[in-house]
Amino acid sequence: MLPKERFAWVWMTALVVVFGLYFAWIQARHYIDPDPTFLDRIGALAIALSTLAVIAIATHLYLRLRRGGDEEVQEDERDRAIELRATTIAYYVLMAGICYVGCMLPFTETGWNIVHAALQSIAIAEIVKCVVTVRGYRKG
Amino acid sequence: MPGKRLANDIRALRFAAGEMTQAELGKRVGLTRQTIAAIEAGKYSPTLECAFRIADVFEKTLDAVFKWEDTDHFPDR
Repeated sequence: MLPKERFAWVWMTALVVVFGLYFAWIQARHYIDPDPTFLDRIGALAIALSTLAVIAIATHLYLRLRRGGDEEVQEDERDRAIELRATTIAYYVLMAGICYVGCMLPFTETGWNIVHAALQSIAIAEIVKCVVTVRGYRKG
Repeated sequence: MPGKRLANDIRALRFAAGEMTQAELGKRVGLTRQTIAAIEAGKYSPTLECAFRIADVFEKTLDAVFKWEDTDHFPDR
């Protein structure tokens, strides 16, 4: 398995788990404390985002250390073609999400609901990118 | 284009060239071993430039390495 495919698997799993836990916690907290402070909210978001940052950096470092010195070619035209396809598809998913968040939600929702909808759009676009990347390496 | 696919004889040419490995061919043309495997399996069509580089390694013309064939020859794909 190529490092880029491996990273796509790890990143996809991390996004699903971290954002899944974050949004599950947001829902659960709504019943416990319907009006949390700004610090509570931003703290939870900071924990989720910094966890993702640590996972991304650690995975990149691990994959770089694991690279064998015998394989000189680390990235080629197929990698770039797969990345281009994945990024293009994810871009349209992100555009749809951001159009919804930016053009519709300000008239019906406020504050943190808009922030969470934007976060969900970004997370879904990233997951789509990972899925297309993995599929690209598996199916050609 | 429906009904046609890009086939190749890279595997046979590698063995004819002293059992050259996929990694070795990859190094010589600037591709990863996995990409060479994908090209051989017909899962990935290389760019024209890369196809010429592969043909160059085996000192063959492009049409001696790559063929535009009917998919009827590959019913599983």
